[in-house]
Amino acid sequence: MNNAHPNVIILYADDLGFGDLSCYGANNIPTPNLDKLAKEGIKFHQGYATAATCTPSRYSLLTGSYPWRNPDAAVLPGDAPQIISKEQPTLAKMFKKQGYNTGIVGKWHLGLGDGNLDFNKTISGTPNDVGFDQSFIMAATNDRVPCVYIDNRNVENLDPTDPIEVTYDWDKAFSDVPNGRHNPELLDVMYDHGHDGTIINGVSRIGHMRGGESAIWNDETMGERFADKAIDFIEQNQNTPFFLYYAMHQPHVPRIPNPKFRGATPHGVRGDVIVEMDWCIGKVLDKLEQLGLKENTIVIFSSDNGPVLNDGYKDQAIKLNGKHKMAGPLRGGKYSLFEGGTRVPFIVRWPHAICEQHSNALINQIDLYHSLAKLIGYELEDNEAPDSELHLDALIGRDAVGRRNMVLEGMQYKKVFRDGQYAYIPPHDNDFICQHTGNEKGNQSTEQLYDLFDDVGQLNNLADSMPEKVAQMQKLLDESIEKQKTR
Amino acid sequence: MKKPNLLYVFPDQFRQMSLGLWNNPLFNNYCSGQPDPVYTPNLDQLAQQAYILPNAVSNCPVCSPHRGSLFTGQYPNNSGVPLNCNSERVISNLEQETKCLTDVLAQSGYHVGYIGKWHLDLPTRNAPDKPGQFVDTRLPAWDSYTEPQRRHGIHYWYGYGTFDEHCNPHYYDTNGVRHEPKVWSAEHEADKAIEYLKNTNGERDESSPFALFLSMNPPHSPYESLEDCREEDLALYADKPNEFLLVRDNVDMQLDKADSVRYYFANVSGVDKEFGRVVQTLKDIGEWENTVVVFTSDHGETLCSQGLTDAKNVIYEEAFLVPYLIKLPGQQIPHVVTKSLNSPDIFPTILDVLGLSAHCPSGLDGESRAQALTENSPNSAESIGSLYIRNLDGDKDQDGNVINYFAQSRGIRTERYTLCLEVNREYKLTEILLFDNQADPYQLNNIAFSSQPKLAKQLLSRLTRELIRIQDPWAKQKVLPDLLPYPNTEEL
Repeated sequence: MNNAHPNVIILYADDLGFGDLSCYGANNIPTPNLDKLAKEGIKFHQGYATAATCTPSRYSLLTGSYPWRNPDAAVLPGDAPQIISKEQPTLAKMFKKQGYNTGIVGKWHLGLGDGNLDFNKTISGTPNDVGFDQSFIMAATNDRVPCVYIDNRNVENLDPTDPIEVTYDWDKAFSDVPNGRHNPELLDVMYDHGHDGTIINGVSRIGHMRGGESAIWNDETMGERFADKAIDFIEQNQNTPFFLYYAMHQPHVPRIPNPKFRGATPHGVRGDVIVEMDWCIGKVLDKLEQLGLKENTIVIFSSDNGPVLNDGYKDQAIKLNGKHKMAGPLRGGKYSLFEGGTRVPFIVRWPHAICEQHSNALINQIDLYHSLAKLIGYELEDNEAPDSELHLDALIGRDAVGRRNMVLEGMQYKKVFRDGQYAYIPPHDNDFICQHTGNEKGNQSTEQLYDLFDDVGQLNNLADSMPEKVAQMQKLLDESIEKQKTR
Repeated sequence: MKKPNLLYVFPDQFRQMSLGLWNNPLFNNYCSGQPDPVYTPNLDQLAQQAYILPNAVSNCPVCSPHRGSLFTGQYPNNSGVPLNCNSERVISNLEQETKCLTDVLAQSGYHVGYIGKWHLDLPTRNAPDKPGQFVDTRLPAWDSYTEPQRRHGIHYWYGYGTFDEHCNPHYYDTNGVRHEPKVWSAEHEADKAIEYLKNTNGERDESSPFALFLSMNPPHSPYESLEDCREEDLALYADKPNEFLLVRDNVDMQLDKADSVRYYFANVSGVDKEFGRVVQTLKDIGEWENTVVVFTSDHGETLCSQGLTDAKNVIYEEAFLVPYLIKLPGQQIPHVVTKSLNSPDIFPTILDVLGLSAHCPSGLDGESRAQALTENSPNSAESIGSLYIRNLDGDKDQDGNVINYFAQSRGIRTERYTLCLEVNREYKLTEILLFDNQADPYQLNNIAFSSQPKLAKQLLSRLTRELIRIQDPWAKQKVLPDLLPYPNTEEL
C-alpha cells in the first residue's frame, strides 16, 4: 500500500487514571504493550479528556464540541436515544469524506435509536448512522442493561422467539427476573449504590432486562471479543486508509477479567483488568505490525475520564488498592473538577513521523478532530467541530505548548477553566465529595485557583490571594461559554 | 466514456524543496534534507489528492534538454536538443518531423493548448513583426518565434522562446501577433489559461477533451529585486533573515546570491497562487474531477547550496530533483511513489494515464511509470536509477556555429546513492562524486571508491547499462573504459 494517508486508531480506555499505567508510574500494574507504545511515540504529561465522566468525553471526542453545549450529553442510561444527530458532523464522517473506511469496536455510550428503541429490530440511530461503516459495540456500559453486543444495527445472536425487554424504571421491573436488590444470594459480587437491577452472569446491573438469553455477553471474554473484532476490522481494511475507534470497557465496573488475568496484580480486579486491557491492545498492535501497517498508522491511546475505586460494586478495589496512586500525583478522579478527573494518559505513536519523546504540551481529546482533519487535508466547515483547536504540531511533537486554555467539565456541566499554568474552579453549589464513590467532586461555594506548576496536587487555593487572576479566568470562562464556537 | 483532460503546469527552475507540503508530517520523510520554509497552499492542497514523486528528476537539468525529453520521450542525445537552444547552437533544435507528445495528443482527438515558455527551437530570423530579424535583439539570439508548422499539433498557442524579464513578458499568439501585457508573467499566463479553460473567446473546441500546457518562467532567474516579482508575494518573506530562509546545511551564506532567496521564494509563492487560480477555474467549469493535473518543473535550483552560483546543470539534489505532483481523474487521497521518474518517462506515462498507451510511439527511451502509480505496491523492484547528463558546446565552424557537443559529465542517481563522473575535453577523468543521500542528504561527504568498492562497482555498472541502453556518446566512444564496464572490455 503506498497511499500517504496514515491509518488512525484511537484506543480509548474507560475510567483509567493518570497513574494507572506502568509508563505513567504504576509500580505494580505491568502494562508492557502500552509502555512500548509510549516508548515508540510521544507520552503526554498534560493530555486531557474533555470531561470527568464518560458520555460527555466521548461526545466531545467524536464531535469536537464541548459537551455542555448539548444538554443531552450526560451519563446516559442504556436505552437512551442517540445524542449525536444523524445530521451532525463527526470525526468518523470527516474521515469518510477523505476516503477512509471507518469502524468502531467496544463501548459506545452515546445513546441508540431515535426515540422508540426496540432491541429486537434493526436499530436506526447507531454508530453506523453517524459516520461509521462498521460497528460492534455494547449498548451503553458493562454495568448497564441490556448486556448484549450490537453488531452494526442488530443485537448479535438474538433469538427472535426470545425477545429482549429493557426498562430503567423500578416500577416496571420484571418480577420474574432476579435482581440484586431482592436476590442478593445470587450475586458473585455485592452491588453498592444503584447497581441492584437485573442479575446477569452473577452481577447485578443498572436497569432491568428480560429475555434475549442467547444474546447475553460473557463478561470474561469481552476484552478478547472486542480485540478480535478490532483485528478483523484492520485485516479487512488493510488496503485502504482506515479509522478505527477501539473503545475498551476496562477498567470500568463491573471488573470481571478473564480468569487468566486474575491475580496479575496485587490490586485485585481493578489492577487485573488493566493488565487485561494492555494484553488486548498488544494483540491488536501486534497484528498491525504483522500486516506491515505499523509505520504509517497513528495510534492514539487515552482514557475517557479519571479513575474511581468503588463505582457500584464491593469488588475489594478499595481494600486492595494499597499505595497505588490511580491518578498519580493528581487530586480527584472520575466525576472530579480537580485534575484527576480529566487529566489522563495520552500517548501518540506514528513511526513515520514521530520518534520517542515526552511532551508537556497542553492537549485535549477534543482537538483530535481538527488536528487529524488538517493532517489529511480536510477543511472544516464553519459550524463543524466548534471547539476543536488545531494542534497537529503538538500532537506529533513539534510544538511543546499546545492549547493556551480550555474548559473542562466535572459532573453535570460544572466547569473548570485551565490555562497554561492555572486551574480555576468557579463556585458550584453541590457536594464536595461524591457520597457513593468517595471521589472528591471538588465543588465549593467559593472560587478555587491552583497553580499547577507549583502545586499539581491542588492543595493550596490561591483564589483569595490572586483576585485579579480569578477575575481574568472567570472572564475567559464566561467568554468561552457565550461563544458559539471557541476555535 | 468521456476522455480525461490534461493540465500540465511546469514553471522553470522551481526546485523540489520549495514545496510547502514537505512540512506536512505525511510527506516530510520523503524530502531530501530540510524543505524550504515556503508558503505554497495551493500545491499543498493538490498534494492531498495527488501522487507525489520525490524521486522525479530532470536528467539533464537545464531548460531546453528537459523540454526536449518531455516532448519527445528521448534523452538529449536522441531528442535533437542536447543543449540549451540559441542561434549559434545549430545542433540543438526540436525537429519539425519529430513526433511529440503534443502531436500524439492532437492525433488522439485532444484540443492542445500551449501557454508560456517553449525554448525548443533554433532561433531563426523569423520575427513576425520584424521581417528578416530575430525576435531577440541580442546575438547569439536566444528568444524565438515558433511558426505554426513547428508547433507539433498544438492548436492554441500563446508562447515565446525564452525571455527573462518577469514583469515585462511578451508572447506570440496562435496567429503570430505579439502581445506585451506588462504584467508579472505567471499572472498573465494564468489569465490566459483561465480564458482557455473557460473558452472565453472560443479558444478551444469544447467537444474535444483538452490538453493544456502552461509553462511559467518564474521562479527562473533573475530574482534580485521587486522588478522580478510581485510585492504581495515578497511580503511573505521580506522581513525574514537569510538564516531563516536558507535552511539547508550545504548552503554558503556568504554568497552574494544569498540575499536573493526571498525573491526566489516570492516567485515560488506567486506561482503557487497563480496555479491556485487555474485550479479553481477547472473546478468552476466542472472539469476538475475529470482532469489529470500535473505540477512539475524543468529543473531545480541550487540556491547557494554547495557554494554554487550556477542554479542548475549539476547532479546535486537541489538542481537535479524536480517537484512532481500528478492527480489522476477522481483521485481523492495522496500517494507517495518512491520510484524514480525521468524526463523521457513523462511522455509515455502521461499517455498511459490518459488511457492512450496504444497511441504511444515505439522506440522511446522513456518508460511509462503509470503502473507504479496505480498499483499499490511500494515494494516493487527498485528502478535501475536515473541518468545524469551534462553537455557543453563542442566544436565550432568558421561561422561560430556549434556543430557538436561535448559530453562533459555523466552520472546516476538511485533511490539512495548519487554517482557522477566528469571528464575534460581529452576525456580524462577530472572528478568523481559519490554520495549516500540517505545518510548525507546534503551531499557533503564524497565517498572514496576505495572505501566502498562494491558499491562503486555496482553504481558504475548501472551507469554503464543505462548509457548503453540510450546509446549515449559516452557508450559509443567508450569514455573512461577503465572505470565503466562496457562490453568487450576486460571487465566483462
